[in-house]
Amino acid sequence: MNELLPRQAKVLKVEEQTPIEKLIQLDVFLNHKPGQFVEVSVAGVGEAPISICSSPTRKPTEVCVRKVGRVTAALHRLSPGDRVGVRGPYGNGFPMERMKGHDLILVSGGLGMAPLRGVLQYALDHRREYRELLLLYGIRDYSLMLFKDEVMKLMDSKDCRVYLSYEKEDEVCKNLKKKCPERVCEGVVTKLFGMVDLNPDGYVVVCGPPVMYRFVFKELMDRNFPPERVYMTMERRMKCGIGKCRHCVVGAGTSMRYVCKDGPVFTGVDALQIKGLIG
Amino acid sequence: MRYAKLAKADLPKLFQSLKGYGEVFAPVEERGKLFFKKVEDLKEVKLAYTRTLLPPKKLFLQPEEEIMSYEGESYTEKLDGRKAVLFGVHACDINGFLKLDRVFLDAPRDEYYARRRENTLVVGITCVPDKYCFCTSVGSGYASGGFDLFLHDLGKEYLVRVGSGEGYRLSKQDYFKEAGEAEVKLAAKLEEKRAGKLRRKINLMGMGDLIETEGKEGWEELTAKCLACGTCNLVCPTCQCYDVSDLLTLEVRKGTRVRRWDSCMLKRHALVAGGLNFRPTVVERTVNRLSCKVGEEVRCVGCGRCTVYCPAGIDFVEMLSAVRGEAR
Repeated sequence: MNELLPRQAKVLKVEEQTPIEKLIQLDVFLNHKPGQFVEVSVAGVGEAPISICSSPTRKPTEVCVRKVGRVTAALHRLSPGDRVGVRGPYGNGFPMERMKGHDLILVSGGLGMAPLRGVLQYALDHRREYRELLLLYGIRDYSLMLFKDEVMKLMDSKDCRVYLSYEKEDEVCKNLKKKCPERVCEGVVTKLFGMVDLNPDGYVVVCGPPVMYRFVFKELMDRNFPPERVYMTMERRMKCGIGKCRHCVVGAGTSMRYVCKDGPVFTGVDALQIKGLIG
Repeated sequence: MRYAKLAKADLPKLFQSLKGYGEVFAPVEERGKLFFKKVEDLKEVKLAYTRTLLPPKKLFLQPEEEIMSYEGESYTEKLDGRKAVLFGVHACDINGFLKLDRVFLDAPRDEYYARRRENTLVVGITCVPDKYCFCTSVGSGYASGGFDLFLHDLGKEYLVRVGSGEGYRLSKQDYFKEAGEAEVKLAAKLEEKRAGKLRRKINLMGMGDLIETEGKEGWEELTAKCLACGTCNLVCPTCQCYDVSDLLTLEVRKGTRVRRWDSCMLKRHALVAGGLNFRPTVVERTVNRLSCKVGEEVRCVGCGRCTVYCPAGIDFVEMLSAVRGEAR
């Protein structure tokens, strides 16, 4: 079998999430794990690695795409009925089984919500198998919040405790803070750690822009949270997705890893070992 | 292993047999440099040589190749089933194949590389080392596998080591004679004599950690001359990086997906959409390249190409001894 050959997938639905992000539903069965990614091809434009933002417990498969380059711009031009090429799923994904029976603390910044939404859906669909479920979500402002309906609904639910930080105040954020001052604040996502009790027996799952990891990890280490219980998913340039083309390689000296094959999920121990992993 | 003997006078016969298998690629001298090129006659081949400009891996992982075509949204793979022979490959380059095999043949295997590797006979030959070779200190001075036939020059004849089924079939032809202990002993002695000529040594003990901890100023000094041109990658027998692009035809609905060698020394190697570059400086890219070659494991085969062809005159071995703290 030729692993580089994409299979066709029909676009079922394209939905604007924010001015720069679209949610695309694909008619493709992946049997993936939350945290894995696919290589999506637009014929004539190219291929790009995109994280899967839906849980394997839900159908259809969804990806959330920010328009940042040529391929993602082409993905934004898709309409229902169009076809794209798909390879994967690739990467290790989050260890959903191992985390069962423990608190699950999701820390997400901006588009980092996309892969974590798969984790969130999975945990909600196996709600009794996890203990406390926390979402710490940092956004620029309400207009850039992903999965608005789902997050707002969760804020009122008992299944998950949602903490929200925003960098630019707007009407919605202001009202949320007024309504729930113990869970909503102005600032970056790390400010939310002041509002929660971290159970060192829990697991922290992190995804956000590359600059965020260093600060979140420092916050966790300052609180003596065990690094082996931190899972962070990384972004790098990828072409093959299967550990051959070597663009995504991280580290130096004796510790080098492929983000596509050995990751994209790494532990806090990896962050301590692999030079440059979290900057 | 099976051993055979081939009189030098009978080499044209072997060459003819190889031509019967597929297109033969062998070292040819042009404008003072050597290249693996398609040959029709043994006379075109330079049997005693030091190194080619590009490593013979270019037959398996091609500098540029069309990997698939598409029409509408349907992709069709473009696999190459041609049979070929690589004739006159040195031990360092064969060891380079073995290192690339681990990348491209390990699951999920790369079909393009795998088919070409399977369909290509590799015939090794004794090399002529120069002052830039250091294969013996990276364990690549001798090929224990990865070839179909290996010809050891014994003067008037070759000891032939047979490394595959196809090689076995070739060695059963009547112009081969039986060989054994005596020829192997002589070949080992001559190989040892050849290895003794290699003055260059590289000490890789603890090199990964030395690379990781070398300070920024040290690296800046060591890379000051580097043009970040990527020549070292292009001539390396174990560089595996490739880039992929889609090319449109004028009909727009049709096109091809092409991959070509990439270079980790080029600025855009780790650049992601949106403009973030994970290895923006020459220092970071050098640390990555050296870590890849000799840090996490020994991928360098000691062929000396990156030093010989560096337009800035950067010496790979000297750079690493400087990292060790030996005289700069």
